[in-house]
Amino acid sequence: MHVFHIRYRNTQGTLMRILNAASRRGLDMPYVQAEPAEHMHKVTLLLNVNTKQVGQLCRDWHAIVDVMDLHAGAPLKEMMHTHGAWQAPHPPASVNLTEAARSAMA
Amino acid sequence: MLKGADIVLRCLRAEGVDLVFGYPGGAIMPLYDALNGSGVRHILTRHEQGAVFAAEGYARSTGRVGVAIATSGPGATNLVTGIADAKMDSVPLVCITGQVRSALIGSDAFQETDVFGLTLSLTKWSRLVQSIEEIPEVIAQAFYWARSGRPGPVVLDIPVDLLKVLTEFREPARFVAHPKTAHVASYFCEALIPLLKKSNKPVALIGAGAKLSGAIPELRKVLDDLNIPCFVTVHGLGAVSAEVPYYLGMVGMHGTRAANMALHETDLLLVFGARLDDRVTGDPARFAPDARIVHFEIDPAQLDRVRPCELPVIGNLAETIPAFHAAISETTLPDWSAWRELACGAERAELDPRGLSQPTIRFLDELFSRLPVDSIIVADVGQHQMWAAQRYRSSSPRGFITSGGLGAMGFALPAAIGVQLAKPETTVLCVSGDGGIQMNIQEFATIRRLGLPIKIVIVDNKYLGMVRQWQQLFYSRNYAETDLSDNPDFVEIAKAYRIHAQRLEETAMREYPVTSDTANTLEAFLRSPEPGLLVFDCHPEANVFPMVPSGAALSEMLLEEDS
Repeated sequence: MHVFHIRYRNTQGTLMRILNAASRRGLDMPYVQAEPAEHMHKVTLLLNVNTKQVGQLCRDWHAIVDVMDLHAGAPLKEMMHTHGAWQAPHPPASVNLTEAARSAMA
Repeated sequence: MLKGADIVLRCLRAEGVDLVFGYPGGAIMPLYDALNGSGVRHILTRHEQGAVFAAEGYARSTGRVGVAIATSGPGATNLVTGIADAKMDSVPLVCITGQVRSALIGSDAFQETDVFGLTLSLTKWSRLVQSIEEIPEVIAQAFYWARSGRPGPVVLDIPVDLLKVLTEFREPARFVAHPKTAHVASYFCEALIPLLKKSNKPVALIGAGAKLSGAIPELRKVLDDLNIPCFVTVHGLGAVSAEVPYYLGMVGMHGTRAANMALHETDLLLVFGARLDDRVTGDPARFAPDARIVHFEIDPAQLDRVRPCELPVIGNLAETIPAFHAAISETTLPDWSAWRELACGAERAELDPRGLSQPTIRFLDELFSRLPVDSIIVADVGQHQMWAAQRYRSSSPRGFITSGGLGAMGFALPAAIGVQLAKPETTVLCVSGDGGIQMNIQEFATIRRLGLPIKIVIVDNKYLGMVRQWQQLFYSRNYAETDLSDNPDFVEIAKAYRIHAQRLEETAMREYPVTSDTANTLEAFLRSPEPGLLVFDCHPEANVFPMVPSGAALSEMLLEEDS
């Protein structure tokens, strides 16, 4: 697993272009978090990719007009934990519900 | 006070646009209503795909930004193939689409599609305009991104209500890009010169990027100084004069034997503005197996696609090539004459045309040899495209235009319209196949209306020829759904559009030299001030050779029918 931190200007479609670079390669995205970061935005992605794909993704992301910089590294423990809880690529909506919520829906 | 539509047109004028291609419809009507007197000439094609390909032809032949306009929904979706084509081939293109009114967006209104979402992965930049105030800024950005760096397509989706509303307008905006980390390594020559000196078999590969950068004169000086075997991609045709002794022609799947062998054997590959796509490399695992790669490229995303390069030279080739030239001018280069003689020698020279394709190749030779200097050939996609590319001998950098990366059939006829409008004094020869011509044949009407003197050739083999060739060679001659033997009479179709048309039998090319009748037919066809169509009967089973089978190494070319 590799984690990627990408800083970008939050213009129309930029986040989608970033995600598209992964989705067009058929990569699952078990962890995605986008948030404001100083004057820009930052998205953190956890992806299961090989070395060649790391290079391709970084170059694709860099070519996006409003991507400012990006870094790749090892994933944090909490990301792996989140990933571990989702065994399937598309978990059912109930996976993250609390017990109380499940009761309410029962 | 101006309407949004007037502001769009004023901003287009400010970007130097005086010609656009399009097709009207409900959501874009206010823009059409404002065209008259705007200074922007609109060319009505007969299909939105015709408009976007024509805009591409205009852009490819001039280097300026092409503009295509369409309405929402189906109008916009019909642009998509052209947008993808522009992305693959680095063509500066701005597409303006009407959108349903702002309040209806997302409601699945009549003729509503998510054009922004639909084109997200195909565009370099795009915007769904949300207020009339942002129109000037958005148009300035659109043109900046379309033409800057590696050029590409941009989409502006404008809700119809914004085109109708009035607002104060002072002047078009200017866009200044935010700074991005520079990657130009000014010291690259320090690494490159030692690589050159160590090399025993260097070669140079030229792609479209070299032409787009405008660095062709400087590049030719570099190649003259290096005097090493040199070849081009299909988009690099014309970058190097076919007359220089070190030029080996086109490389890749249908490249020349000499070029493919030199690329396979090289130990140092200098790449100038080429993507190294699979049609150029053959099997990536066996691509230039002994070579170190030095890649001059403006777009970092194009590096290492096949395999890592030893030395990436990222930056505008208009800057990096002169720097390289200065460096080699100050050094003593090794003697590569033995390698040059092997790579460029008679043993590997082009074979004379033979087999079933011989008459067609001779036909193209006869036609091309009669073209005025600086003519532009616009080729469609298929066998005729490859034959035309193989026989192209001009040294005009923008003289051969085709859909290379996407390989979009139907490209040539509308693209030729854009080329002819951009270059009214130039002879424009559109070479198409019987399959491709029928994909945008409605553009005969545009040509007739404008009286454009485009010369249209259909190489008619009554098959989807390239697919049939693959079926013959790799699918046991199972010609599944490629038979077009019930083609309409193209001559009669052209005549219905009031375009002069005639047919030339294959037998006319069996005599050498051709008879005076045939010569006169070709001369008259090319010299006519009117549009004209010439249908050439090609043998149904003529094939394009050399051919590198899919998944094979470049050295494993099939050279003729019996290979």
